[in-house]
Amino acid sequence: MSRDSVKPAGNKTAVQSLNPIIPAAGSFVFFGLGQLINKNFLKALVFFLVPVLFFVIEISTSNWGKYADILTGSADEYISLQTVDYSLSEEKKTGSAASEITESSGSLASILGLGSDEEDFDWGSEEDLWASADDGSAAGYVESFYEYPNYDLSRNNEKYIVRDFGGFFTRGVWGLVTLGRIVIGDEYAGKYMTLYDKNSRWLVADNSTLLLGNGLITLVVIILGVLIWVLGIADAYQTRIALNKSGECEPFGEFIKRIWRDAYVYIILTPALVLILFFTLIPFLFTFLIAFTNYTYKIKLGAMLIEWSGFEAFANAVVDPAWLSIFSQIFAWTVFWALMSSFTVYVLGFINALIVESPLIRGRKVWRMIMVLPWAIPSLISLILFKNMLNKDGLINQLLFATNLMEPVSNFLFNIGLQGRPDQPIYWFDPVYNGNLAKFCVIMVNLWLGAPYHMMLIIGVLSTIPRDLYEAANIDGATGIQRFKAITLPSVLAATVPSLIMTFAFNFNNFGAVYFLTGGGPVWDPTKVPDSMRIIGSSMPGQTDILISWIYKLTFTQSTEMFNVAAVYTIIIFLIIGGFSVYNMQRSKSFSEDE
Amino acid sequence: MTQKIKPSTHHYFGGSYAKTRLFKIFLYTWLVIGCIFVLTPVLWMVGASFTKGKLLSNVPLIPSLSTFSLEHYEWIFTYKSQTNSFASDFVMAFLRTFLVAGVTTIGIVFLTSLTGYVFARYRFTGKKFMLLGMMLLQMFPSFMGMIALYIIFRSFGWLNNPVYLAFIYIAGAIPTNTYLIRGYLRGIPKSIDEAATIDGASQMQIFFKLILPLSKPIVGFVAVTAFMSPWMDFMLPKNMLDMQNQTVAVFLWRITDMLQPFYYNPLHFMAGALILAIPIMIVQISMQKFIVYGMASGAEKG
Repeated sequence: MSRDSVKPAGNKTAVQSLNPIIPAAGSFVFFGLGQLINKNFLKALVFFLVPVLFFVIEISTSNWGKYADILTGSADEYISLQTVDYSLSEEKKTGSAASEITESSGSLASILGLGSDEEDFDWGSEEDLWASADDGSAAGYVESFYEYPNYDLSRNNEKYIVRDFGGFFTRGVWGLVTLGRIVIGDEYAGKYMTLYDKNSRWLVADNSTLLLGNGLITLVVIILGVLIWVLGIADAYQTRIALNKSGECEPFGEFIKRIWRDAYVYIILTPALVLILFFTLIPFLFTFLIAFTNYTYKIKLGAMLIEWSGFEAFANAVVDPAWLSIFSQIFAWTVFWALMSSFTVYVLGFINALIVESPLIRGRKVWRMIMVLPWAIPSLISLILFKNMLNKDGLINQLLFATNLMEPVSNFLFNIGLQGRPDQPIYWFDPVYNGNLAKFCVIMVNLWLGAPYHMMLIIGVLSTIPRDLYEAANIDGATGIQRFKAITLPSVLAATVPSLIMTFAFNFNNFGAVYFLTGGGPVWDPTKVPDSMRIIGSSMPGQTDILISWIYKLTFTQSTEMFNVAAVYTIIIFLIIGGFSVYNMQRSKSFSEDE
Repeated sequence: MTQKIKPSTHHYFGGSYAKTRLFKIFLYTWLVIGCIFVLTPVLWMVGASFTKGKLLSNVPLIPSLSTFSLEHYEWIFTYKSQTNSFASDFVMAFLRTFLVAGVTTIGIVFLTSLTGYVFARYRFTGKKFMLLGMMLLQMFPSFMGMIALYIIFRSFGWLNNPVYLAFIYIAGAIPTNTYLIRGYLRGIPKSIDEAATIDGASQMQIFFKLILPLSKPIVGFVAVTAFMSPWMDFMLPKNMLDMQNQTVAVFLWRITDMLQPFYYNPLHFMAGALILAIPIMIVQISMQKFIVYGMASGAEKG
């Protein structure tokens, strides 16, 4: 490359030969400068528009203008008391509350401490409020408050200028680094304010979760910007080399064509990658970062902020003996469940496939149609249906009573140790002593749900086994069992082992099968709960809870959330499942053939 | 690899003794018992949906006229929580989910067939890393991430609008489906592309006029699975949407939630679930050809 740069340019050109480092450095200093040096004006404009766009976003989402006013002293009218008539917004609230359904939009809003009725969102001011849960207590009142903080009155001379006035970028980065500040204090703005006042703008603590999330969004946008910047530098460098060679500027149209030809792949991939960046990568980073904070329910209850706390949560989750013992029990059940559910489903699917496809059977299509039915019903519906069937009044108990089988079945279940007590309507999922029965039921229901899928899969594989193999075996006089062992079983196994591994990975995280059926219940035996875990109350796992559904409880149970521990467990699951799938992919031929 | 599925004419197992009557009886017994297990819950659901009242214990084991009633279907089709709404709550939720499913399907088919094509046919730096990274990221359990998604939706102002959920479904489905389509396209010989290039076709023309029609079976599979996913999803709509904009899964779940006594009625659920399940079953069973094919090829390619 450096050889090219020394090479003299063509003699007829208006462009002088130039070391390509110079335009590259130009692009390094500022977007589009190198392109300008290369005399690609249109291209320079395109690159130049990127920082302009960033700048516009920053300015339009910030209050820097107001801050400048405050600095120059021309903002007296802003800082003066504003009078707000709350009766208006109150009216709006009752208007929407008049409709019959008024539950909040799900648990997340309340977990984040946000009101469910969002007003216009703007980056600068309102999003980090600790909103109080009670709206509409007084029906319309007038109150005055400060529109902007009065730094003259700040205690300790603390000023959070970026927090109060920053825009999308500055504020995002500030939030990600600091996770917020508590700026409560009457001196801060010269007026007393309660901590949870929803309508105050400046005097409350930050919502660290929001700052973290918004910070990540900012970070991703900044990364995109940096990518464009690097592209600009590389482009300036390479264009200059080409320029020095040919001595002619590449017209913009040519450039677009060349880019389309050379970077076709990346352009095609961009929309997919951007989607993955926002909706997969940000949640991933968020969870990952939460594991290194002290984010638990305590944050919500008191005036505390999330803080970076290193490996504290890992220590809590993995080293604390009480947590460790519960975790290891849940983990053992999760592994057992994943193995059992995959195995039973596969075996039953295999048997069903063989029988349905057997030439001895008439009306194969009809049988197949019926056997496939559970797969065609949405799993959510089947699970709720089974939850109702296994209810105390549900179909199973009704059938047992109607056929006078209740007593023997109940005794039988008691004798083989599945049922803790020989109850007479059987409480399939309920009391503490029926943990084993509930676990058994979950596996059985999953068998009902999952076997048809494997049946279809194996039917598909069976049809791909070459027929000549069987004919050859017939000629050799192999018995049916021998044929099955030598041909059918190996061929099907070879074709389905990858999907068996994926079934294991899927069942390891099969949240629905547990949550919709038992909700994790029956509850953990209270006498066996370690003392240091009692604080998490209803976030305690039930006896059928697998790891993923416990994580759900740790994340979404109101007022006993243990976000950081849930994040740690999520990472543990990820390592296990990710390991499985990487192994699965590496051993598949089509993947390792690449490159 | 791409053999057509024909009715089997040979014995996967079973030899000389298998032809005995005993074995045949065993097979039929197995099938009949299997069908009883499969059909009982379904028939119970049908029976329960035609039963009066709101108690599961009222559901008769043998259908009887004394408890017969259409009230649950009536509720499903007429109950409106807001007087100004265009149809009943259930129908609205159904239509909303249909919209989400449609947008998701279009997005997934368009994006993943393109990315799958690129991953199958082009060499570029970071290819293997991207594919592996995508597959890995997708494995990450998403409950905690839902908080982040909520924050993203909040800052984009997308909360309570079901259509935007499609973005999350699309992003979540890209890795697996890309991998599937890539595997399929590797089976189509490259010489076809080359011949078309010589004839002067552009890259996009090759994709749309040549590759896409050829990959119909796998794209059909991707489309069916994409269309199905929003119907069964629960966590995302529950957290991102309020009740007025809810999808049908959460709507049905709520009427079986005992903590909401105003709505709790498991028999309403049975009626609604049947009405929801029937079109889905029709789609699943009529698309069986695609699905079995896709499953088999997915299993082969890993």
